[in-house]
Amino acid sequence: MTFRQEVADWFSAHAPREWQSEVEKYSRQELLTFNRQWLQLLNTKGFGAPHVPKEWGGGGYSPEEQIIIYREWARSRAPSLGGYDINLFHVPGTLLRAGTRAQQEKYIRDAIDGVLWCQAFSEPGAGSDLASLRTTAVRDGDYYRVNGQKIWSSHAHESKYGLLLARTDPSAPRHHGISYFILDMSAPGLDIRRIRQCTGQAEFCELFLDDVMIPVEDRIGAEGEGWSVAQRTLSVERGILALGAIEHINAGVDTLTDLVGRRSGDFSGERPMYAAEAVVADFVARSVAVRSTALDLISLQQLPGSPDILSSAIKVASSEMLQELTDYGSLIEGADGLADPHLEAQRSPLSGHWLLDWLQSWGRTISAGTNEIQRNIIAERVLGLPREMRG
Amino acid sequence: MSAGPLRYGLLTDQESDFAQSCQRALAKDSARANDSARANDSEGVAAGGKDGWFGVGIAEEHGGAGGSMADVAVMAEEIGAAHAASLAAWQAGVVAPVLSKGDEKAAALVTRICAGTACVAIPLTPMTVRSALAGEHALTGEFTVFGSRDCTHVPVPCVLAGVPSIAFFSADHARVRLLALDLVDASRPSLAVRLEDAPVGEADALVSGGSLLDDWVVASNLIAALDSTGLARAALTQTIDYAQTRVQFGRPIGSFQAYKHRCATMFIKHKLAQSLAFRAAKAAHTADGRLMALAAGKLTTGYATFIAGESVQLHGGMGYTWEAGLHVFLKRARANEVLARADDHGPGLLLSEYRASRNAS
Repeated sequence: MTFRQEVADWFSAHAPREWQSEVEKYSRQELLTFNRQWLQLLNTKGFGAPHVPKEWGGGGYSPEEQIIIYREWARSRAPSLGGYDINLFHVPGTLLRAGTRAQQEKYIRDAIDGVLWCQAFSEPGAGSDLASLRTTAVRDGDYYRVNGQKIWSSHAHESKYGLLLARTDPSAPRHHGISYFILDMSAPGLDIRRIRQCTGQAEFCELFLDDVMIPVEDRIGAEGEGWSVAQRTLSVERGILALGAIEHINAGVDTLTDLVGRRSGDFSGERPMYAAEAVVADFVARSVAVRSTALDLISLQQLPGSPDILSSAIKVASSEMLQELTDYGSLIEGADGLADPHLEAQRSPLSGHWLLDWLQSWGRTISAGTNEIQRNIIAERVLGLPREMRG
Repeated sequence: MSAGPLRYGLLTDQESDFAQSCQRALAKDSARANDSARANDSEGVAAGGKDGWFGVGIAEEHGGAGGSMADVAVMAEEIGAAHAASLAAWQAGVVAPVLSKGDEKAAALVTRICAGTACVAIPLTPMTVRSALAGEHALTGEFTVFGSRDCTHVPVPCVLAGVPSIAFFSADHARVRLLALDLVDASRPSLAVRLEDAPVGEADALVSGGSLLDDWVVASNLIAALDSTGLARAALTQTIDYAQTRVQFGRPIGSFQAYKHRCATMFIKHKLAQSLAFRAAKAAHTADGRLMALAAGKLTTGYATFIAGESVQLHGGMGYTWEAGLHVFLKRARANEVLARADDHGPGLLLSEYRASRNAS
């Protein structure tokens, strides 16, 4: 049996039946339980974190195998993982490269097992210009005393830990005075407020840190080296994390094909194409191209010394494809799709509600460095165009 | 700038060396590019045959140099980048695979192609059952091809006893007339082909098969895509250079964010288009190969047109001149796009191929 067949069989045997309609009736707590049980079931095969080595609770699969896993997962219509991106990607991606052995032992396996983490990078005054962040961490004996404000921390209210950036040396040049910490979300002095997103859900949070004490052993990397550690976290975000999303987006092309097929009869090359079919053909071609480029990205990452020229391109291409796909799906679905299902949470990137997925797509074009920032990165770091004058 | 990030990143060392040889061989073609002369018969029959390219990607048993579609891909991209007249990639990627399904006469034609003594013209118009030429035993009709006066053969789509077929007529046949035709894309010579009661039995080679015409369309889509990724690479390279040297408001225009973002968008589309075209070439003989080639025919040729159009815009007034030469890319890109999506047949095939691939797994 081929690996692809093995994976397909596993998903068809284990994917929860009729989960979509069930899940939409769940309370928040029931939903969290459902998500965690699904993750743990996936982990029995290493599918929850296929990129993470087995010794840390992942699957230890090759990039080619990861693509097959994500592809079959998406095609099976089994649920995607709600809210676990930070646990499964950012935490191992950061700690396996920059963490101490003690940090790795303490945190990685639990994170893969579903202990929720959030990210506390952005601030009200530091979004695209992340390096201008002003939250301070002042050394105080065996602790750092942290004060400031963070924003856009998804799932912070449900998380046990957070990945935090704070300034330890206000006098250093802006990229150098930053350190990277593990934040215990139950620490005294931490106030969490939820923010409602344009989709209607409230997974976003704002954090207020008032004399929060972080033990020195929870600093990741050396003091003042937080920026370079964060670059690793962010490159994970733009690289392998895209694989799963891309395959779910591609499965959305299947759904759109079915939707358009129902409205216009079967496709046939023997008559002029209907406009909708031409649009679908376009998405089919794009889905094949995005997957192909993601494979290139991963193959290049395995070549030593090869510069990263594709991760920003993948981020932009996949998020913009998602936006255009859901835009079109929502139009084709028509009035049926206008009813608000009042979802407690929405599975990303495709929940089955075209209109909500379209709204949610701005989450992808904006988060993880806006697509405008990605274009700056491409222009300056990849194409070598002169830097903009900065104030 | 160096073409570094704009080249396909996963070429083997051998493929990179081959790309450089292609570039050198094409340099003289490219040097002619900006004069106003139309590419014409002076290219010679082989237009590369003398450099030994015609055998690339064709099996040694047919007199070819061996190698795979991955090698043809490298050659096709370089020909596109140099906007050269050569039809070498089409011979290796489209003509030879179809001929190799035929009889001894067809095989003999492949051998002549490899030797540089034959060259088959490439139809720009659909090669479909619908557009097959009229007649069961004698063919009549008209269509347009890429090819110079010294193309030795024209492939004619026809249906014989209900079976889709391609008849390869000698260009010298009395019932075949070739008329020089000026296309707006002047980088490749072109001809109008007219057949008047040309007897099928007198064709130099005849190949038949249920999916033959579709096979031709799929292969044409792939070569058009590879040619387009080359011209897009060249147009983008020229634009990035210009962005760094052209100064306005006291700064290189490439430092302005509005300009940068358009360059970045061109880059993103280029890398998607290029990745798809090269991986489609690698997958040419696998289960995914047809879907990928058709996807490339649609996406890569379209993106290349976008990139060529942006390169005109981002050069400002200079971009609009004949002298700057960017129009060559734009016109060639459009011609490739038209060829790949002729009559919507390509996209229609793409969707049925996509449906088949979904049902298969």
